[in-house]
Amino acid sequence: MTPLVHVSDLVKNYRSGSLDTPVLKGIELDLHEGEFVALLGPSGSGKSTLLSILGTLLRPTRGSIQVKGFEVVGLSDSELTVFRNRYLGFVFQFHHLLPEFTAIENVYFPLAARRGWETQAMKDRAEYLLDRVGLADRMHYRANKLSGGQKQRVAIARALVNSPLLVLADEPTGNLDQETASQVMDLLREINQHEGTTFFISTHDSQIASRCDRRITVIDGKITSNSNVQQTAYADNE
Amino acid sequence: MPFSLKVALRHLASSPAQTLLLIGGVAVSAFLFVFIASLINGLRDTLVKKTIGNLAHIVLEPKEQTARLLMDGMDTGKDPLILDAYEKANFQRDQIRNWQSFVEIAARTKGVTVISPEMVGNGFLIRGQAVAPVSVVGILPERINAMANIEANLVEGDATLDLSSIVLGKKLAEKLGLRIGQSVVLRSDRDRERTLLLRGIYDVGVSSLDERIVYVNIRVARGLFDLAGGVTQIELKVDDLFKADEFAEELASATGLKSTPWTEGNKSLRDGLNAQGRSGMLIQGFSLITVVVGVASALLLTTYRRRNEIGIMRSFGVSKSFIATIFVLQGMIVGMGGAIVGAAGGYQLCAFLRDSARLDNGDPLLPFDPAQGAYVEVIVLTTIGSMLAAIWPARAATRVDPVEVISQ
Ligand SMILES: Nc1ncnc2c1ncn2[C@@H]1O[C@H](COP(=O)(O)OP(=O)(O)OP(=O)(O)O)[C@@H](O)[C@H]1O
Ligand SMILES: [Mg+2]
Repeated sequence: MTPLVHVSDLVKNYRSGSLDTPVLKGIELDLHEGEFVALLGPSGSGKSTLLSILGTLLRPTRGSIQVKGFEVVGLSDSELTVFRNRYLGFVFQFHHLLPEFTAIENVYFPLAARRGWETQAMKDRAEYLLDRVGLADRMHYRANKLSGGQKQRVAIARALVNSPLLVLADEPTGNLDQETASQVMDLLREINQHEGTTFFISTHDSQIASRCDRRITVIDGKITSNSNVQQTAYADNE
Repeated sequence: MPFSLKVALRHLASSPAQTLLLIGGVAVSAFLFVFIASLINGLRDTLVKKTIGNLAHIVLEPKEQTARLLMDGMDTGKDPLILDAYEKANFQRDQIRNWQSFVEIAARTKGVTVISPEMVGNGFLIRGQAVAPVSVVGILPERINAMANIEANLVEGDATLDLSSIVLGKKLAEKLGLRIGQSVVLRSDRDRERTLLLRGIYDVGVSSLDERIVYVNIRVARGLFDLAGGVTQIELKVDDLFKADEFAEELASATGLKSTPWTEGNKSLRDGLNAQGRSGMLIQGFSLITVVVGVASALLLTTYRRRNEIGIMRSFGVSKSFIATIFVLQGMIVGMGGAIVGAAGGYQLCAFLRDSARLDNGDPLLPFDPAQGAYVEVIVLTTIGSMLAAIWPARAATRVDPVEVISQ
């Protein structure tokens, strides 16, 4: 079976002046449909870089990324923009909501901006998702009037609005207290189980990692462990 | 409503003070634009009305003749009969033959508003010992007001031109000591005389009219100048005084007559008006530049302030063109809004200034013409200028790198 995402020989060098700093040094990686995968590794190991490249926000120095067998590296900027809009969802450490827009507007923003108009269908979809993340009573609140956890849940609903193939989450709970973080993880897990959405989540938190199907660990730009076995990889590498 | 417009409006509404300030700045420029347009156009019209108002805009005359040259080469001294015949033939060339057909051509020409066929010549007005040189204008009686509004400026009598009446200016009447109902002899340069009764005295306020011109029935003039049925010139007015040159050219080619626009005899006035118009345009140009600079810098600050939001939009697949559109629309809204506010304010002030003080004759002391404030121009140009000003910030916005924003 073709994996949802197939990454091979992915290399990223950051260039500063005449100096090339290698950050990713030949990543090999498969993500399968419906998986809930944690990305672990010490600070500076290249987790965010890998997620940005998978999210097509950043171009790799070398290598291949195939989504459902389709090569993504080498597409034009505008093709990648459409690709992200159709097939990907992002959740970041900071919610990055648009402060002047209401919760529901933030959620359907990606759809409305692509379409050029707001439609009832996208409002219905946003309403459904906000209900799913437990914000049915906050739909028409301005984003800047919501609490940190509420904002992050709106951001999750926004990431799901286009029914993405893959949600990339870079430390989605990194900015939340433990209890809220736990609630947010429960929510992601539930969406994964009910809708079969694939998640790839970077984190420093072993508790969070322990709730995932699979854990991939990056150290110094290389994948050092890739396992479904509980308790091993993360502890070994820390 | 397009979603981009909704976003643009939301952005503008989120910092009302800044938006109002920006609209206010644009409004001041638009205000200046309207103020200058209304002043310069008003000034021009006042000047032109004073100078040209009572004159023909275009005069159609016979072409300069070549007959004299022909005559020079002939032996004309021997037979007085032949000489007389030549003189007559030559003189007849001074009139417009078939003038009715030219009047028809003029009437068919779009933009020609008034047509007056005239028999014009020189003569003397004689009363007792007093003699005054005059220009005799023989006119169709019903067209007496065609060029100068004689009836409206009558100080005595009336302007009915029957076959025994003459109407003339106040200064001329005073010079000859003439009063209404008195008789006076009009002698033409063809040595024909006619005794006429003074019917009306006018005071137009233009010295050439008040001192030199006498109006008589065209049939009287024909007799005096020995031109039965003739017309020496056709005077015209057109709807757009400032297109008189073009009309004159059109009429020249349509009629084959010599066609002289008012501008020919008033070059310095025209040059002055042009210079005035150009300085007005310069000021208006500067006010537009102010709009462009102001809007561009304000929006550039906005793009900088909104780098985060722009980056996040890019991350979830909002196109560069959508982002550019948001900023261009903000430029458009600010430009159009400011222009409308400024134009409305400009209209109010110009109307107020025009009505604030009047001269004795009812004309405004300050010759503003709020009807000619160039409102469409200012709104269109300011809106376009603001949209162009937004292009630079819009491009800056599309270059925001989402990774930089997210990983900050
Ligand atoms: N724009 C850049 N230019 C140069 N070097 C960069 C740039 N972005 C990241 N790096 C370097 O690449 C390496 C990997 O960074 P990255 O942000 O991917 O790490 P990370 O695993 O996400 O770390 P953290 O857990 O702290 O978020 C780091 O050494 C970082 O300094
Ligand atoms: Mg990181």
